[in-house]
Amino acid sequence: MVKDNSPKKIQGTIIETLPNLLFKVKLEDGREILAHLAGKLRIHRIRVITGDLVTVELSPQEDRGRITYRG
Amino acid sequence: MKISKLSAMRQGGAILSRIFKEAKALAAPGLSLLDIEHFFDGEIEKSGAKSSFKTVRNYPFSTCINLNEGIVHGLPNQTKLKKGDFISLDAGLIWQDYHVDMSYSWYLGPPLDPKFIKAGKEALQKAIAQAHPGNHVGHLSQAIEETISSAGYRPSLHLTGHAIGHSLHEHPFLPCILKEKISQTPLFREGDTLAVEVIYTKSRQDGLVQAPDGWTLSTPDAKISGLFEQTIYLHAKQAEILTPFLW
Repeated sequence: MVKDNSPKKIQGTIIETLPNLLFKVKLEDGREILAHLAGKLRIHRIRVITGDLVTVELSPQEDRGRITYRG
Repeated sequence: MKISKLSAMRQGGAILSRIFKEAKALAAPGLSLLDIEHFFDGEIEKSGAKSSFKTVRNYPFSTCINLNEGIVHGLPNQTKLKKGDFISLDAGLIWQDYHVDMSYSWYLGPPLDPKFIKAGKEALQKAIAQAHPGNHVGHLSQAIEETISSAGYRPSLHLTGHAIGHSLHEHPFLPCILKEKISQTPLFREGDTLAVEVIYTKSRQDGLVQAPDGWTLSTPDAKISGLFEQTIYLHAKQAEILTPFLW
């Protein structure tokens, strides 16, 4: 069986903004993780604030993530 | 009685190859995917082996059957096969606590696009030729990527082969695309057992579309997708194919 290594995408809400474009995100399933802002969002200076709905790509250990979409 | 890893996996591979051959001969228009699954499941039980895929979390079947645009993890269902379908069958079993895994793709009826199938087989052969102690995983990825890309198809970005042994998916993973420097990828060692997989599509996009069943992954533009896999054992100089079906 093929191993699927594609990053898991999940929706979440920003609950706290931290220094260095780091955010605390509450995921749909209730977990709270730390996530940083993806490069594309930094380049285009997408502002993300508390309460925003975002899409997060999870790391393989699923304790960290990168915010890829604010929507 | 406990036997060595190599002989356990050799025996397992031989059993799997035999069942695989029979299942391939069985597949005919009018038969449903579930019929093939039942046959496979029954044969695995008869041979005294255990189903390997059922050890994967929440996966209820012994095989993955992907039709046409299905890339991997196709759940066997009531869909009936028809002439001209492109099938990828992926199956594994556990023999003496060791997993073996293989897959193969073919057209039902006359091959509509022999070039597509040839590219996959060639990529797998070249990848296995690169798998020997002293080489890196990157050499294998590079062989797959170059063969598939030069034939005009797209190797899968996120779906990978894997090492295999006491569990189905073990480290290191064997990507079909070289994403970093070869020297930074893991080294092969003597005694490694690997499930080398070539996953490639006619699609022009890298994305994967997940079906509502939560498993089946398909190409986003409904282009067909192929899958070739062998389990191999690394000796000091070269690799031995443990699932010698159709080679």
